[in-house]
Amino acid sequence: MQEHVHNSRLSHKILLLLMALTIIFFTSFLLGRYQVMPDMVITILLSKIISLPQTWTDNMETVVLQLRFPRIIAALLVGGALASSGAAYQSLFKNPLVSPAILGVSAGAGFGASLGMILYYPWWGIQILAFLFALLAVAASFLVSQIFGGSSRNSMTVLILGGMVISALFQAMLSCVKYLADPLDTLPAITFWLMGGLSKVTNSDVLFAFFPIILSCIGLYLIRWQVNVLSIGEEEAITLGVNVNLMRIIVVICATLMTAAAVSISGIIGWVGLLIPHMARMLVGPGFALLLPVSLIMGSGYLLMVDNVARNLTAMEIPLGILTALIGAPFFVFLLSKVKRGWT
Amino acid sequence: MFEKSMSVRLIGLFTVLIFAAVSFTGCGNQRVITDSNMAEESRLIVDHAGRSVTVPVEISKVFSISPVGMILMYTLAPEKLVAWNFTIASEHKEFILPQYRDLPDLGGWYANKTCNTEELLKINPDLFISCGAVDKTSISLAERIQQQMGIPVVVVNSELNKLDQAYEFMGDLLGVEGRAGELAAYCRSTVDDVAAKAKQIPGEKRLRVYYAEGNQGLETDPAGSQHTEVLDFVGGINVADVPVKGGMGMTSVSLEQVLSWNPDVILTASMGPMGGEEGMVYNSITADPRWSTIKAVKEQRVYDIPDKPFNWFDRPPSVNRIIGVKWLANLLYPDVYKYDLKAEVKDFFAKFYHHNLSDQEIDDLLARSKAGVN
Repeated sequence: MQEHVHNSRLSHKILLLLMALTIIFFTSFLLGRYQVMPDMVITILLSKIISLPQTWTDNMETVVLQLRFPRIIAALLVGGALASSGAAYQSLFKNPLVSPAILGVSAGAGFGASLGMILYYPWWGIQILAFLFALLAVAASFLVSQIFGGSSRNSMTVLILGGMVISALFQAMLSCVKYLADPLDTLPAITFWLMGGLSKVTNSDVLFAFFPIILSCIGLYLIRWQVNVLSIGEEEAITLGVNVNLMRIIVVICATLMTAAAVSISGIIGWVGLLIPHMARMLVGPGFALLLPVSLIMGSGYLLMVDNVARNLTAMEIPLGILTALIGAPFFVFLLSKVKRGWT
Repeated sequence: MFEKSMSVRLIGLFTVLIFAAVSFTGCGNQRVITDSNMAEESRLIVDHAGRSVTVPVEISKVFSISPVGMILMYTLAPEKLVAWNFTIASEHKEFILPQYRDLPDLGGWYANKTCNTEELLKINPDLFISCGAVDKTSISLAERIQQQMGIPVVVVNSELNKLDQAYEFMGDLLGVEGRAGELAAYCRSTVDDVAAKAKQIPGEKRLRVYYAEGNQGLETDPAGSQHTEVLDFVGGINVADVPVKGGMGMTSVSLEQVLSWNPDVILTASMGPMGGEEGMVYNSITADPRWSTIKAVKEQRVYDIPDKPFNWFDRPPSVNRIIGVKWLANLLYPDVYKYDLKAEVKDFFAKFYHHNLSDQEIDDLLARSKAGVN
């Protein structure tokens, strides 16, 4: 009976979150530096579903469909990807300080993107390099843990250490590229990329990131119970017949794929993957089966709201990474003061 | 007992070391002073920041700490320039006299570049110059370099309408007054002519211009920035109402913001003199359907800023802005300025770069930079 009440309260919470996300989603279309009246926005959006006579200017259509639409979807995807991969890693490593960047994915992406910039690649080339080097960095960390990990308990520590080492290595190579970059124009471009932002996102970028992120989300959701058991303890998981090593590999692959895809279109955005899982845990507890979807929803909504600030506050773009850190750090301290329950 | 004698000994050792160090540096200083007294005559000058600097009377080796001064030096007295501040891409090198193409790239003190100081000391320049806007940062940087390297650093104001004075000042310093006077006169007459004609442009005729920088054209600099001086000067209205950033400038804006500014003209910055695809930003803006509804794109008024041998507009904001002013003035307000641009460009290249442009070269230079091309 009590179980039932608990469950219905949880589903209420999720329903509320979804409603909030929907409201933020639609409101975001109305916000922007280019003035388009709300009814016009709705007409333009509707015109894609049903055919309507054109009462709007071409500019308005570009703004709503080519600029705001991809940006909003990208914010949802990136925020959701960072938060859910953060949640997955925190459960996997049984460590609340872990963020999606732990295995070197951001450092790798940063190096790849800046390499593309000093080679004067077109934008899509830069994205692909970022994506590939992000995967490469995590693969290297994983390889280190597999070779030098030893016993399975040890291997998690070695994996984190490997991630730190590989991150440091890619950071060093990034510094090297920055040093070689043309300080008059390429260097500022690299700096902007490293601060993160969605202002350059196009519909094709969204398409590029969509499948890795959605597929990885589904992958993580399919093994939610196994991850849940893993987050309680390894021995318990083995007793229950969970293939621990396989699950770890799947989590790392999914989290890496989605983070790499996110980072390659947005640049480096910190704090979302660390902060949101904590908020989700306060709301629904540490069970991964609920933590994952709630992190996904909250991460999407959070990044969308922050991006709305980034693109609307002033005529200049405020880099997203700066905003998420400015909001995230103090909020995290606030969360720490509130936290009463255990970490896992 | 042992402890005590140990510490006494240590104190003794330290005292000796300190004395040695003090006397050594003392000697070093003295030696430098006598050296310079004996070897060469020096004189005291006041630079554009009001600093008194002792410089040799005969100056034959000059190093500029950043590209702005490097270009000023190259146009004035290339034989005295000891190094470039960056590696110049081959298609830009064509406009540099062959004997100077292979000067070393020693970096400099700009952006986050550093200089190979020992390599520089091996060349042992007589003088360093620091060109650009004169402010607290540039003055303190000059002081710091002078202290660190022991070579005099002079600060030269090279704002657009001070370029004539910059040339005259440098001409006097280097003993090339004749050539300096010629270049200064050219700068002065250009600046005066453009300033006078800019006043004639009525307010409602003034064009609203967006300066598209960065690899997607979504970085810019506003009016009042040292990076957009040329635009302000010829009487264009810079649409970017973002705060002026010092130093390297560049502010990110969204495409939605550019759409809402809806500029009459877009100027695209080519990738820098170190390389990159020609007209990359220009090509992406003119081909991208998302930009196509902007007035400038619709009316085919997107222009790529010429960048040979160095950029005519910005990055670095050098003496090439003198021809940049004529180019942009004519482009925006041909009825007011009425320059014969080809002749002007030829004249400028011959005077400043000792390079006689062929008609083909002029066409290539201005391929994406003249009215009615896109």
